[in-house]
Amino acid sequence: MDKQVLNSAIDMQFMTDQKDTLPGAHFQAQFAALKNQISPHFLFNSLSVLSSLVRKDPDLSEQFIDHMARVYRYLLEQKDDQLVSLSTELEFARSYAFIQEVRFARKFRVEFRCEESMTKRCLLPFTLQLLIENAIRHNRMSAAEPLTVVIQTRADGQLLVSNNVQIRSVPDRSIPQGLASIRQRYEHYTGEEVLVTESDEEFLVSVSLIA
Amino acid sequence: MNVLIIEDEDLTAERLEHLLHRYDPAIRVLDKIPSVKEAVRWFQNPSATPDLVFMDIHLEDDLCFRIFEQINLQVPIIFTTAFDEYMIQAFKVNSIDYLLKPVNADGLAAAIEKYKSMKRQFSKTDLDTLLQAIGQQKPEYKTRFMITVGTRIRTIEVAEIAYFFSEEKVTFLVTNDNQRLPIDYSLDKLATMVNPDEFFRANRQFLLSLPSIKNIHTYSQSKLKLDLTPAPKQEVFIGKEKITPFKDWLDK
Repeated sequence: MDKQVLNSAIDMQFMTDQKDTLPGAHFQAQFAALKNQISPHFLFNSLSVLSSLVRKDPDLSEQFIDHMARVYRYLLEQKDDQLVSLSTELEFARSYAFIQEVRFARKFRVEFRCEESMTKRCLLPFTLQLLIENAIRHNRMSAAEPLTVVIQTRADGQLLVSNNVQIRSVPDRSIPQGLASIRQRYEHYTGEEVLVTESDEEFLVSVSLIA
Repeated sequence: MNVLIIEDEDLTAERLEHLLHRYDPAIRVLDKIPSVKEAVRWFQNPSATPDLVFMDIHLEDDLCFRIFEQINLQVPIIFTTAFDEYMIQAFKVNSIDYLLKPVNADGLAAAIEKYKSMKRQFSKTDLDTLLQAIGQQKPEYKTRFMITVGTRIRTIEVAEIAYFFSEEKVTFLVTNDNQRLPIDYSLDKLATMVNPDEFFRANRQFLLSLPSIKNIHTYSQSKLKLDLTPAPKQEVFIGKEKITPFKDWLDK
């Protein structure tokens, strides 16, 4: 079994067990915990990068700060149970991706290939960011073997997030387990199933956009 | 000082290099390495020996601890990370200090000072060990003692001495042929004048040569009783705290 899925399956099992024993309010708490979990790591790594960048490339630093502000504003604004438009989530995901691409220059890239006609459709907030993070959590990256995440929409209203597979032997524990949380949240709030397909080359997550 | 940086974020590695040079322009950064795989390869054929390694916990391909599973690293390490969840694990592997990102000049300076102070201590120990190993620094021990008895002055060769003992604040030298001669030195002083391989301070009253010990009895769980030749008037015991050093001395 693919390790990325295996680890996620373990995550799922853990979350399912929790769901059986905890009341519905648990999701709100879990969401808050998730947001808090992202923040410190992301913040300090970003500041570390910025402390070097500020001397080296002031213009890029300015953009970097701007994108950090956008990411944090989005983190504060979004509520778990309120759907957002794909265009809003994409704007946030671009800022998030920008920061990670600067942080892992030449090793990491996110490609956005979404149809304009689909961007009015909705999804749960942080879906894209958590899936990007999930790819970083489970995969190696280097200048020789970059990690690339592709975000695209399909005519039938599916949002597809995929990455090339270069599995790490141990997932990066500093990154929260996003995939399990996404599946849980979609099941709870939209009744939609999040599909995961994987091969030796590609890991693909498929989410139904809500019209 | 030669330094190696193991860090997967290029910009963070550059920042660290910049701070190191600002701290001391003489510091030479040998290399900046982003992954476990490349670190292992580097250490298998190092361009120079690093005095100190700065190591990020989370690397491109794995956690840095994998490096230690693959090679035996005999070099001090300062860990760097954005978060402290691996701190305990970090301290198991020759770690000097732990820096949180973003690394600042003060924190870095403190960590390097800590390294330098540890290095001074280690170097001193190494020097001592080295000198001991070479064994050329042996102090000069007395080969004979001058004794005044009344108006007569004579010398006693160390080889003729069975033991020294003290009684009512007077120190005596006892020869193998059982002459008891008063001597001017205290037992404490004598213990530093004779070769410790040949003489053992059994207790407050006796400093013994090895050939003077005829028998050793286990007197109780915490005491040994010695029969000496020539036999002294009083009984001679080795107390609990002296038993181990005594056995070590016998076994030299």
